[in-house]
Amino acid sequence: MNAGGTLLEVSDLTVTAAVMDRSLTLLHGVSLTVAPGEVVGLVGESGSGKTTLARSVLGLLESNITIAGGSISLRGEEIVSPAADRTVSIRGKHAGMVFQDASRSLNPLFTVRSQLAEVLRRHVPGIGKDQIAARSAQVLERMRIADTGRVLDSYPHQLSGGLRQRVAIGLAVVTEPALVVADECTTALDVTTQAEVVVLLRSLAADLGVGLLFVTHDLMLASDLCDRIAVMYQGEIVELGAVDTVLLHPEVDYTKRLLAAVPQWNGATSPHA
Amino acid sequence: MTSTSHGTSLVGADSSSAPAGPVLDITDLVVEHRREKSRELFRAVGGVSLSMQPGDTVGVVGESGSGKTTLAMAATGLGPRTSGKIELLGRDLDTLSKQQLRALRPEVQVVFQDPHGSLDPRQSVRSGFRELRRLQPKRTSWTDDVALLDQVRLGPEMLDRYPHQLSGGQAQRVCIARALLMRPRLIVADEPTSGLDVSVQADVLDLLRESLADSGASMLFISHDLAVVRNLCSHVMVMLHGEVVEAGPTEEVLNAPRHDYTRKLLAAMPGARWREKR
Repeated sequence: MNAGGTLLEVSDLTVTAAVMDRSLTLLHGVSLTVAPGEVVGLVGESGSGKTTLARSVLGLLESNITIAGGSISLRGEEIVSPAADRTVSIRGKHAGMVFQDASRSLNPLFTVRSQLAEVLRRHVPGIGKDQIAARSAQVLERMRIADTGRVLDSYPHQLSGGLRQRVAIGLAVVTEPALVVADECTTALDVTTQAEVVVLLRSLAADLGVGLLFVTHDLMLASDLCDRIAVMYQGEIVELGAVDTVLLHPEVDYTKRLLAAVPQWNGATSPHA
Repeated sequence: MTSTSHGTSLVGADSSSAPAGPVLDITDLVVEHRREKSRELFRAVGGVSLSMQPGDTVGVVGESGSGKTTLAMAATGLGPRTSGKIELLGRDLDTLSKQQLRALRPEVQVVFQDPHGSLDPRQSVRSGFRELRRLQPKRTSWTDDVALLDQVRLGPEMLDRYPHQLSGGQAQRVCIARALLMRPRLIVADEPTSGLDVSVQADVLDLLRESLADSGASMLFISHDLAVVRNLCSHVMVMLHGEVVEAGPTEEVLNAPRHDYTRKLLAAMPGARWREKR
């Protein structure tokens, strides 16, 4: 890891999609950085481009979508540009991704134990059986899973939604990547479970120095978790800054409108109160 | 509203304005399902009582599996019920024939989470309105489609659209317009804004609030979002594992929660840091 500096650097990224015979621009010259141990929130409404940006980092774009300009670098090394896609060398090993629907990112035919082992074998050359077992158990403990033995021997469908999402996060971080990209990874969870996952993600950044790019539609959730927030609207980052600055002193109209739409929590507006 | 679970009275009645009887009166409702491949019975709703007065807006909150949707479906006669008594608009569901229940339906309108799932994909907005009028000629209040759309803040150009040409927010507004067309006395809304963007959600909530104020209808509002319920509902009922753990006037419950689970839900609400600093 390079000292302190930048872990992820997105510069002037432009992404287009071929739809029928037209070309749509999904991202218009977006720039963003994530430092080691930093949590950066990408917030915006549906269609704002936040998922496209997140997926660009890992090279997981649909086949009709192209990088038209700009670049993405991880630890100073260019991984994405119009000319080249080197994401395959970092995906899983140096950068992990967590999706909204954990059941779809886990293989239903294999136990948690064998899925963790597969990831470790692929990305850690020469790793032994004992080490695989130790690191698998360790990562689940880090995910605050109490009965790791039972969970390791379970198939995804035998776990609750919250446990499944924790396993999915475990799978993304078992190789100790420098960067984790999480796309709406708590949206399908109950609020109390969500609160637990947020604590977990925070500890990844604080304790392990993982850089986290956290995509969410929920401004309040972002305010709890993130160090910095990028507000996206129609394929652009319209406002970017420290969480308190953006949420308490928004400069852009769109951010102000988004904040105004968040249901109030003072009871004053309740019609019957 | 008054509500009890397992015979424990949680709140006093708040029936300052009760011209007629309750719009919805549930006594000791139990709903049990037989789990797949098992002989075990699963208690989705375990002895819930609720009395809603005209004009009440009752928010039912709880996490997935807490029984809130099952409760709403049983309350409207749309879902199964194992035992307990339900009086809907003063009529005991047990004594109603199918025909009588059908006659009651227009007065009780349901708005679901997925608006596209409740609209016929082959029917334009206009022809949907026309069909409702034809089916319920006595109840329909809005003779003017444009005025009806205006009520839900949609332009006249929406009349000739098909559901797939509507965004989620537009489609949900059409669903609300269809509900309003029936001049309902009770609206049951099951997570109606959960699939919508936050700015669209704000519009739809405003709309619901205004429509209720205009029509005097009551609403049973199911939600996992305490902030939304606080903004919209006069009363709140907190459910956990099929039972009501706490119920009462919204501000009372949220300002001074008495049950641990309500406190846990409040603590888990995202945005604490932001609200504190603001």
